[in-house]
Amino acid sequence: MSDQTHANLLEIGAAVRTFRTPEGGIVAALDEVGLAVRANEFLTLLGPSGCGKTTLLRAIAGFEDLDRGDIRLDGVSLAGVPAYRRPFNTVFQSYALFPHLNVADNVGYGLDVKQLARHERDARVAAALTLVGLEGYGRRKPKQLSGGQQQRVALARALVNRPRLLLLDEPLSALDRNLRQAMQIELKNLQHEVGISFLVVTHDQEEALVMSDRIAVMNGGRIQQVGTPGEVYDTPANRFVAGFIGVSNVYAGTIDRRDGSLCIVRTDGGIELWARSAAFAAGARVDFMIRPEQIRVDVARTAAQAPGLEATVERLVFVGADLQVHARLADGSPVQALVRHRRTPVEGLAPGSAVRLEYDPEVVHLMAAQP
Amino acid sequence: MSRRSGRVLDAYGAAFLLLLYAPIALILVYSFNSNVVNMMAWEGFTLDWYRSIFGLTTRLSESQIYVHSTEALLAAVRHSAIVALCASMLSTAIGTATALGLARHDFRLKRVYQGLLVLPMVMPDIVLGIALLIFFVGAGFKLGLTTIVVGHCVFLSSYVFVIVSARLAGMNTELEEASADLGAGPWTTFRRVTLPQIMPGVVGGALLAFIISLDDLVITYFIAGVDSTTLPLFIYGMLRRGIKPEINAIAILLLVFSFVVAATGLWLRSRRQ
Repeated sequence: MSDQTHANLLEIGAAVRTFRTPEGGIVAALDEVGLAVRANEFLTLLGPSGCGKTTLLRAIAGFEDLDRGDIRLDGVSLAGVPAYRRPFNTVFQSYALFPHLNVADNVGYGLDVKQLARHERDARVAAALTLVGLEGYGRRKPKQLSGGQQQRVALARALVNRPRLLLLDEPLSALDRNLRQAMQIELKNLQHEVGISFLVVTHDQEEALVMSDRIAVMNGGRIQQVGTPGEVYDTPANRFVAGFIGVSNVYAGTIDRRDGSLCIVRTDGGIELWARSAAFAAGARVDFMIRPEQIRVDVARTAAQAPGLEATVERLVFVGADLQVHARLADGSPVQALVRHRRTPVEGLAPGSAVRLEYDPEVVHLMAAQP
Repeated sequence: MSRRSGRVLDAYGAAFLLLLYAPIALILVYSFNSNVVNMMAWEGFTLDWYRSIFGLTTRLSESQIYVHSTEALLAAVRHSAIVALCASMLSTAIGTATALGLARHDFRLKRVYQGLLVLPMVMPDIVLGIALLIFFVGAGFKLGLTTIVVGHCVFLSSYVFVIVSARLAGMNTELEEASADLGAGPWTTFRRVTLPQIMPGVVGGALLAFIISLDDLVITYFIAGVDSTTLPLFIYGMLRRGIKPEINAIAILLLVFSFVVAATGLWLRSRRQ
């Protein structure tokens, strides 16, 4: 039993935090949030701004109190433990480097506070700077560094204390695109190297998919889904997750009838869609999701065996090697399909042309409709 | 901009500076004028007025000088220095602590409290002086250096509060969170992060408080005792016996001292950055 609980490094149970708006209303930044952080994992809190992810991070760090619920480290509640007694370190969105201290003193700050012996302190600072690729930068002031270098200093300053858990608040948002992509891989490698759990807050779904072992998708103060990048992409828990991660076509409808494990869904627009799912009974309200890359565009409109939808092409968009096809179904709802590796125009595919969109009922996804 | 309006602006600027600095330049010149009858007519260069202040031998006769007792003048200087040092240090501590408290905590009537803190700055000196006098006498205090220091702290704390508050408003509060995040308790965070960040404001506030305390006349006039005459009170007393050239020398010495204090402050600030 005790082994079971210790598999989780950090557990958040039914956390509630409300804020008063200037207009006098009450907004729940955290609404019954439950989440577990495992040992040595890269967990991302993903959600749009204002979804409560930063509040959750700050509550873990000890900068925000919870109204209700608790945060447990190794099964022990952290209620009443101030930030400076929690074995976590944070990489702030603004980096929050101390401008009056040089790089080495910034990195050594946590060790100085613990009054570590001088030689050990210096050795650990040097090792941390080497880890982030900034050896020899110790005597510079933060102002003399580029944004990417400052970010590395912030990382080193946190990691040098060997925290149980590293909290990162939008760590890459201030970097330009190329540097951000390089740092995504680097952060992931760093996490493997140091063996410390990383909890990263981000609103960038691509970043979350690239870096994470698991992703917790948040919206409106609630955790929508927790899963591996593959799970949240292929089998999103609801319409919000499907729309927030990647591009998706989602249609609300009702299970019309079942044929074995095959569900026949009638959308609110009257279109019939097929999906393989055992989770829903006839009459259930569902959201039907299909990713653009799961759709095959049949220009010749041959009556094939695969289920298909009649659609009218509205717009073609070249995205590098791929071709995005924006079209409308018979009931007027939009649909997006992707033609892979197509550099030359497809015969008969032009705005206004009628096409048949084929899909495989085995790969599309049914979700319970949100109330 | 046309050449013509440029010239008009130049002339305006020159006239403005002349009006501002000519009287001070005149005092400087008069303080070295050897004409004992009419100090506005230049006769020749002398250091006698400065020598007289410090009680050195001069060619001047008794009737030509004010400062009959260098001891009294030096006592006034000493009193002013004690008052300015104590009042500026105390009010810096009070003003900084108040600014921190108000910037970092939320409580009811915070705005009202902020307003009350700034009020002594806009209150007429005469009102404040009378109020303090009535308070000290009513409470049974003996008027002296202590009452001057306390009285000065009342309004100097407001100046320090305003200056330090401005500095705190520009400070990134995430720095304090970062410090706590790295294991530093509240006191360590204050000493190693907050104080270094607001130091230019604290030093600036202290220097301003020092200078204001040093030349305050009106409030001090009400709450000084007979044996606690400060330099401004001493000079004011001298003036009642007519304007004599020594006053110029004293004014110039005060000016030089104020410059040194201000320059030290600026130098300390530039060294930090």
